[in-house]
Amino acid sequence: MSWLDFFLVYCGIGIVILLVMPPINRYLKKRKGEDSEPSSLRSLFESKPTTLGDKFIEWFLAPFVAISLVILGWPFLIYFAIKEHLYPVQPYVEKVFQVETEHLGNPVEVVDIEAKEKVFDPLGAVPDLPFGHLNAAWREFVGQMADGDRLWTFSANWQSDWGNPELREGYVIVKPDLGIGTFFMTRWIILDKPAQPPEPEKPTLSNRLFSWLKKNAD
Amino acid sequence: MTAQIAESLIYEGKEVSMCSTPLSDYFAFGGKRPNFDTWYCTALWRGYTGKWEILDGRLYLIGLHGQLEGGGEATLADIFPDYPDRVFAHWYSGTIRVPQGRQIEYVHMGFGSTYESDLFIDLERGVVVATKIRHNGTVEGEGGPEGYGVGAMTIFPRASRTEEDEAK
Repeated sequence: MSWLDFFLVYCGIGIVILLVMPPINRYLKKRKGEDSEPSSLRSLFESKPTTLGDKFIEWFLAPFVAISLVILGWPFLIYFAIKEHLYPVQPYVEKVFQVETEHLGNPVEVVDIEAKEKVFDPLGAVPDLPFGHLNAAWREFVGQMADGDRLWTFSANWQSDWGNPELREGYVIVKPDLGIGTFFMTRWIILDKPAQPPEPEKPTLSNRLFSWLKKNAD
Repeated sequence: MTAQIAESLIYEGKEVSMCSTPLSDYFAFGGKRPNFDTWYCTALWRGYTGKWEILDGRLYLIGLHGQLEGGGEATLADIFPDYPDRVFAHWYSGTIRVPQGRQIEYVHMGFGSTYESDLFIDLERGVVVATKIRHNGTVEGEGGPEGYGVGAMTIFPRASRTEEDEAK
């Protein structure tokens, strides 16, 4: 077999994959109960090109490029399909701050808090109420307390999935069974990251490319 | 992500750029947040710019500019109806950063760019408790513009988005 024969067989496999891929994909998505196409993608296909340039891109250039990519790059498609099947990507769930038992300080009374949290301003730019401009939010918070609930102070050092460590403080509702309810935050400080030893600079092509992208990406 | 437009601060009689957003803490603590239009400019994901003043060691919000989802202009009165001219930022504890001098390195993300120095103002419940200056380096020769700036942004005109919404 010559190189041309190999190439034709390779492209032939690509054409077969191109033909069987859409029905298989639809079947698998249907079995998983997923929509076969994301709505944004569908709306893109449903849009009607108006100018000659758009028609050329949408009706000729885009399909030509897509089909060529599948025919020439089908081993990658197979690789990614197997990888996705064997190691399905878990959906990312962002960590949400919650007050834990270890964050609790002391039990406090509403009247004591309200006396302590009155705000004064010599220019009169704040209402003379507990928590000043946040008084409505405070009243709403206290309104969630049921019989037997107590208020406790809390202070939590917390680290989100990204960004710097944080200090969060405030008041939290503690239920009679010691379950922790909603909280009212009064202080939220972004702390400095712990010092890390500096990494040696590597002036590689990818570093320079990343630096250029970081500066120019919009 | 795009570099973000800074807040404005009047400090010691001069108007400077402030790379901190104390109003976001107000919203996080339960303050009423109007429905800002956060999609019209990639350099303003928060949807507004606040004008602040430090007067007699206290931080005040003295103005607000932004667009509401319905198309109207957002003002201070939309958040603080009884205090349309001046609001004491008693909710804010933390450090605000005021970049100074010429730009050493531009970073097209958040408030990530580096300037010759940073003025840090520490506040406790809206009251200044400490200030310090950190020197980051010196710009040699011609390079580096003076003062905080955003290199590029995309603005989506309201008219075209309204047409899209109506089409839906």
